[in-house]
Amino acid sequence: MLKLVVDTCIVKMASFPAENNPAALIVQMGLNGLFEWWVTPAILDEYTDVMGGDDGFLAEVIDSIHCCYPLNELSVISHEPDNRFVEAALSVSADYLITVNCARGHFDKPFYGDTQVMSPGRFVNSQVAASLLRRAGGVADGSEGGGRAAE
Amino acid sequence: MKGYAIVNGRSVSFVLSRGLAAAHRRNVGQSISPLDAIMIVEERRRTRALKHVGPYVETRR
Repeated sequence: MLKLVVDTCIVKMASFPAENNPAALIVQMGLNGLFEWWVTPAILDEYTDVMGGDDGFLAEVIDSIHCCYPLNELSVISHEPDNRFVEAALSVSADYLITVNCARGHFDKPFYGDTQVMSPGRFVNSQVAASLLRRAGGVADGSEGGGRAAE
Repeated sequence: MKGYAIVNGRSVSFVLSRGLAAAHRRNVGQSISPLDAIMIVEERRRTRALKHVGPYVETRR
């Protein structure tokens, strides 16, 4: 099964309604078990901190995730807290690390090991996501969203 | 409650889980840009880091 590591920003963005919210689609796919959503205790701690107040949503996330315990602390990214996500990705050989923060000093490389860094928009438009959505059927119903124009 | 995303040029809708729908209801009328999300997360990280170094800072006074 596909393994993803999801940056905290994505979880935060998923909790806001928007006409185009690929972050919410990814999170919903994770909640529905369409991919393995990997975290470390440090990442889960950060999710809990940032999502404080959205207890129901947080409980669903906690029910859906897989927790790994990396043995090594990495320092491959100059912005130190981002290394926790790379540690998770490398320890489970994640396929993708989903983030919006590709600025210099953050997730500025296209790959960390075998893990590809992707924005939520790029991921939901990828072949991999399309095949997951096709297989699931029920997550995205494929219908045009209430007359919203495709961009 | 449904969420929306543009996938391959088409707006698709998907059913939100109960918890995610509640979060959307709570944040209705508000929007968040990627930059806003990054700033929120970084602010929380800074707050947490300061909390952790607090006892050390106290000993240096």
